[in-house]
Amino acid sequence: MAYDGGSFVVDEAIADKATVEAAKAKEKEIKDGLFRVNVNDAEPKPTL
Amino acid sequence: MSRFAASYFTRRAVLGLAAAALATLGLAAPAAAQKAKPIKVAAIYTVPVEQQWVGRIHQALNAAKDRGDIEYVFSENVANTDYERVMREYAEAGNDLIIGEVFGVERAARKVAEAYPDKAFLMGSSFGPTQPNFSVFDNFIHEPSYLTGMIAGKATTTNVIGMVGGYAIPEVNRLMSAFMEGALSTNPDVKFLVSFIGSWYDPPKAKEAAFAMIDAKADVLYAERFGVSDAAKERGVKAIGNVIDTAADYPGTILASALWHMEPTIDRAIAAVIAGTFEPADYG
Repeated sequence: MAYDGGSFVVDEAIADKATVEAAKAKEKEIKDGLFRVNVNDAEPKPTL
Repeated sequence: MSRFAASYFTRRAVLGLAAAALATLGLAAPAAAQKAKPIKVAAIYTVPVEQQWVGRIHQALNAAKDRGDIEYVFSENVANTDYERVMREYAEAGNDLIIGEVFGVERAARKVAEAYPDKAFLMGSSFGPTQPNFSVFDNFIHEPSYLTGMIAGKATTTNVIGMVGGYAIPEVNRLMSAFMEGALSTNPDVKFLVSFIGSWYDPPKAKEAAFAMIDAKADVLYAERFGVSDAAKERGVKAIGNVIDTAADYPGTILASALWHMEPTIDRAIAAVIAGTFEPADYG
């Protein structure tokens, strides 16, 4: 995201407002290099 | 970092170091000549350009064409069994840069590129670049995928999220995994249904898989493939978009999307070919 290869959009009319704010704060942390999302190439499995 | 991530970076790091070492020793491909705009670019897609992933590549190339940087031709719906032939035809036709996705023909595509060392190849790939002229790219949108997961985790009232993907390859897995991690960060009680339809473009099959998940109480769907959002809209549940923004097509249904922007990668490759500096590399 820091290099504009990806971005995040949210429909604020239908998403939970507090979570939208939390996601935007996390987005800033990612761009600032303060939070790293794991790159996990393993096949995801159902948990239910 | 997971062991999978560690192995991934190790593989790419090793390939990158190998390429750098070859360049240092003077064994890399000789520098290509500078080219005048517009350069000739061809793209080869295994699915229709309406499909979201290749659609992003197609969009970035059309933008370059509109700027006058390239002349652009493409083939869509090319079967993996026919991919090598189409690559050769575009190389023989004098295209300067050939772009595509070789997830199903990794080895054969590299052999074709090797036969045309004066051409530049930039391919979506699960592996690293190859001398003398084969560069790779991938869609690293795991970060926005995590953020969409945060939204989805809070949105579900049944605590069940359904996820429909194409194939369980690293490029898909990492986005789904990041999404799940994000969802769990806002709702530790959330559970996931996961299904792969075995196709990159089969909206009816994806829709059918999504319907089954809704019947199993999923009220938020991760739409890695086309067709899932249609099911969400029909049944009145929410969906999370992937790669492109389809919110306008499904008003009130798409909660959030992780978008892929191919322009930085495409523009960098075109600039390198024009400057005569294109080298086998990981374009991100």
